[in-house]
Amino acid sequence: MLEKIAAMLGASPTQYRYLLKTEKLAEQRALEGKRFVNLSLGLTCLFCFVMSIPIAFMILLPISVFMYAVMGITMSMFIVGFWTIPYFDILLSPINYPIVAHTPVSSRTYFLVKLTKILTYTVLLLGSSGLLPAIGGIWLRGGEAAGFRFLFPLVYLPIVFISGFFMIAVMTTFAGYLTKLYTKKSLRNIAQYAQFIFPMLFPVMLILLPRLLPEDITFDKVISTLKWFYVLPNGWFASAVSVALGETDALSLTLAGLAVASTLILLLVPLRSIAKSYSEYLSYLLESRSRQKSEFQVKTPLLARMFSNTTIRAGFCLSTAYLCRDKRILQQLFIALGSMFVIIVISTQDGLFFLKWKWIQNSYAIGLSPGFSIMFCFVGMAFVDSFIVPVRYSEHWKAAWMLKLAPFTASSDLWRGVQATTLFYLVAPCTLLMLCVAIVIWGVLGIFYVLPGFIVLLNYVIFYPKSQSGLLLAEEFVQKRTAAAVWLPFICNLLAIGIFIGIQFLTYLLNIWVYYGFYCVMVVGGLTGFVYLLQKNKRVEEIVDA
Amino acid sequence: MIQVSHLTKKYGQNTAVDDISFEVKQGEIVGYLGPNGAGKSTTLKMLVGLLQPTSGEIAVAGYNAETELLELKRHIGYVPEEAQLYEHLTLVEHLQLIGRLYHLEERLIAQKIEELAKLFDMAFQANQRISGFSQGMRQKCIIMSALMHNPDVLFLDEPFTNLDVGTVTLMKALLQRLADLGKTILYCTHILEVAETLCPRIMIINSGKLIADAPVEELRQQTNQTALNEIFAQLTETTGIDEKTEEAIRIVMEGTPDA
Repeated sequence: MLEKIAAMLGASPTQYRYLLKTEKLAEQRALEGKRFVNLSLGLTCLFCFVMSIPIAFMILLPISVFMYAVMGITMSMFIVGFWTIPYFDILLSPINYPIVAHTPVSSRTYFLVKLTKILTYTVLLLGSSGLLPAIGGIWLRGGEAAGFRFLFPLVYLPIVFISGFFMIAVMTTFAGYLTKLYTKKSLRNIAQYAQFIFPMLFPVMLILLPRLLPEDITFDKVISTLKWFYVLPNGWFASAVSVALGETDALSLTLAGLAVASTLILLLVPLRSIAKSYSEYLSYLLESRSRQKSEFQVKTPLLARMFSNTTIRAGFCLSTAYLCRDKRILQQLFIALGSMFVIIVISTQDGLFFLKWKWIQNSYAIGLSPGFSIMFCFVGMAFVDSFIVPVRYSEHWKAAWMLKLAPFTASSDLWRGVQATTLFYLVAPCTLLMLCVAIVIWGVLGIFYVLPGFIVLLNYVIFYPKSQSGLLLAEEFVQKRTAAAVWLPFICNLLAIGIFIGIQFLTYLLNIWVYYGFYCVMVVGGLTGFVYLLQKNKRVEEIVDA
Repeated sequence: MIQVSHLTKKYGQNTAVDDISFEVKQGEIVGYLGPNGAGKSTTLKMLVGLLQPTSGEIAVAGYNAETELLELKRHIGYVPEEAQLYEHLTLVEHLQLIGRLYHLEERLIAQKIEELAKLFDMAFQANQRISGFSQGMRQKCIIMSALMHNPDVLFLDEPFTNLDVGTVTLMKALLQRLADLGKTILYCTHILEVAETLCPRIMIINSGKLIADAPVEELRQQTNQTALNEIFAQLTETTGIDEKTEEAIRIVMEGTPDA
């Protein structure tokens, strides 16, 4: 069937079939023996399924087909949009293109092969996130089209798939048009990172919607705010579900028409145009950029000069370069930055969820508390994880022969360079930012609120398990392989923080001076421990040298 | 300078290198030849410590590969067959990394980078990322890395691949001069013309076994052949070339559409 669609879109069905088969086979072989990846994909599907359970429970409320569908489709579109961002590398990088560039494969055919590869992943996600709401829809109580409700799964699932395709098409169009203006390489990167905008639209709407509500909030008024979804594609696709089940009022018909028209327009105009010039774009990427001449200069970064040990310096410079330039590390950092933005926005919204300014201000502890400092720890740990985990892996992992060949005195020195990069470029700016926030809230006393979180982060970086080989960028990068590596240190650290919070609370109950005493012990102990660990590493190195 | 004794490498049932022994003296350039898959690169990887031998002894620059690997690594330079590099680094950053890994002083690193980049006509590309380099430029990058720390022993695995004529000529002269200065060079290739002009002594490996180890002249006498490619063909039993050529022509011409 796919080949027939490919032929309809102007691609060669035979070439399409064999190229797709080869791409899949190559990927399958690259992942051979890495059960991790399949497990990770399975867990993602499970996560989607779990996310869909609350949606399915909405049938207990007297809500309409439109409302029910809008929630389910919004969730599916968000998951697809967010989860597929890393996979856009398939489209935006000329991976494997040199192999076929000289063969008579049309630009359109090659583009369709790449697009199909991305869509393969989304089908699994959409199936997992849409199945339960689809079945649940049969028992919807309120609203229109009661007689056709048994048809709900048959209508809902295909529309969820089309909405997922729509999401991918929008992201491809956005990236495609931006990359057409490929006079600068940085623009290509922006194109990829900027795709975070689309999935982020939905949670931002969730934050903004309650702001549009009047103060005397009622359930009906909450429902009335859903009209804002009429301007968003998820509302159009939800209307398509309503129309297919017999709801034929003018508004529903218009919105459903918009869904169909926008999908067709996307397919026939921008995607068609991008497909036509796709090989031109890939050829440009493959072009050697070395033709340009640049000024000759040998510089040592200022911070790198701080390290007298050249191996640490090497680790520091290498990891810093990859921190700024590696697409995958940057993606992880953008996700962490996005989470930080969302956490801060949510926590500053009055009347939203449980975190409020007042609540933070009244937080009982200057030490580790469930208020400001835990937020700081979360944000900081997310930042640290977003670098210290992917820096083990690289698409250039084969270049690690240089590190294996080098005569190290202490194998941990390279990793200390990574730790230094994390401390200077992630922990320090994050701490400064949180210090500014704390000073705005508490004035100079804000320093005391920031100090415990800072110490937690220092020790988190030092205690974070290094890679098995002790080297950086030395393991083959496999998509989603990194996800599982994050959880253990993260959870261990959260447990440790929980224990400290508990002890602090007990000391607070005993006496305020005991509480302050414990705070001082914790801060001084944390700093001493950090310095001791640094010194210990240095002594080991000196012994080895001797 | 290089002592190898009963070196063996097995991958499961497959023996890649089978009980080879040889010695290379200081200042010698030795050509290490063999057909594809003969075990040349595997041998070199074991000599530089990238692969663990299944059995046998290796000593380079007086250091045992098993017990003094770190010291051994300090004294060697290696040009691998495949130019794997950190593509996100610039040439300068890459060479700085290498210099630091070998504990060179920062000022010396800067000086060497500048001089080497100019020598290899890479000064204009020095601050550009390796991802934009051609294969030849990458190869130059690898060669510069191998020379940065003034190694006593050089292990070169097909070092002239993708290099332009000018650089190849420079490299040949450079290797000759380095040998004169007492550097030991093990040169691994299947390009016989270069080996013939550069290496006074030739070792030939076939199917993991060392089948010849002698000066070129001695090999000529042993095999009654004058050209190295003929000696090589005789020793590795690469015969029947004419028949194979005819067979290849037949396959290529088969099913050609009529004009």
